[in-house]
Amino acid sequence: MGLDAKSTEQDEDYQALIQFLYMAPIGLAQISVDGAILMANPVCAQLLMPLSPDGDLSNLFTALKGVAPDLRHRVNSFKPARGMVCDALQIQLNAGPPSKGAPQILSLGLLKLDGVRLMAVINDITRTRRCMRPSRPDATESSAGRAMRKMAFQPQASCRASKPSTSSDKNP
Amino acid sequence: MSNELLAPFDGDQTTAFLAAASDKALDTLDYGVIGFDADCTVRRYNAFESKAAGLSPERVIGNHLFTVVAPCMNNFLVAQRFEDATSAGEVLDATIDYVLTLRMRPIKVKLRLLSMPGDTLRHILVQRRL
Repeated sequence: MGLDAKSTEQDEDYQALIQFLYMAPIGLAQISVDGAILMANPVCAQLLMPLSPDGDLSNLFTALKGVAPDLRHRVNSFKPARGMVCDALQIQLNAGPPSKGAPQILSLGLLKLDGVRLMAVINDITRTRRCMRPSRPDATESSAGRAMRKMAFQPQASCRASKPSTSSDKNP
Repeated sequence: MSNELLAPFDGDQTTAFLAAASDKALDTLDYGVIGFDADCTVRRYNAFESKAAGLSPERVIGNHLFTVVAPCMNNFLVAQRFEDATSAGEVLDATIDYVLTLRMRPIKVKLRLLSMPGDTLRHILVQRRL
């Protein structure tokens, strides 16, 4: 195989890999221990941009500060060299402008990879939670069952999703 | 006169230029251009955007913009605005600050969202923020 052919094949493989990551239906990000976003896929930006207070996406802890203010503390207080800092942490959003299909509940997983990096997995679980939540408390449900359900669905905090950061709307 | 001067990112005549420009002319621009139809299928994808995203036009054209090509814009900040403007038959010409994940790196950009009632294609222009 010639060098050109090998280079073309590698380029094709690279594009296929990039496109695979672009199409992944969950948010993936690699962050530093201080929250700086080093790498992120499109769904990560899709889910986080409406929450980002400054239209920036440079720091995960900052982007989620309004709805999960304890993330930095969770990471700092996690002592093992690697492992799950949190798994499927549910984050309740209270988006300001109502819009069709906007996420209301996110799920966040944080995996510590080593002393300097973490992998974040972010997912919109609004529909899943809606399906699981009863429309009204079941009269036959035990108090223990209610307590467990309440624990499983613990809203963190609320915030307003930021409005589009419009620098020059010509026809708002 | 160069196409960059004829059709600057924030120019008033840029929409008219995009509608008439050849693929070759789009490739001379120093910002990204994504043109998509009423079904949100990508029909035009210029060289600047192709290089920034790391994807050839062949891999992008014919795919759904908001689910396959750029899911990062599939929210109320971008996709919803196109849907609302199209449903209402209104002109959309708005520029917003945004962050794209080009080659998995968060990159600050300005997006210009363009949709004119009656036009076959709608456009998103992408310019890096300095």
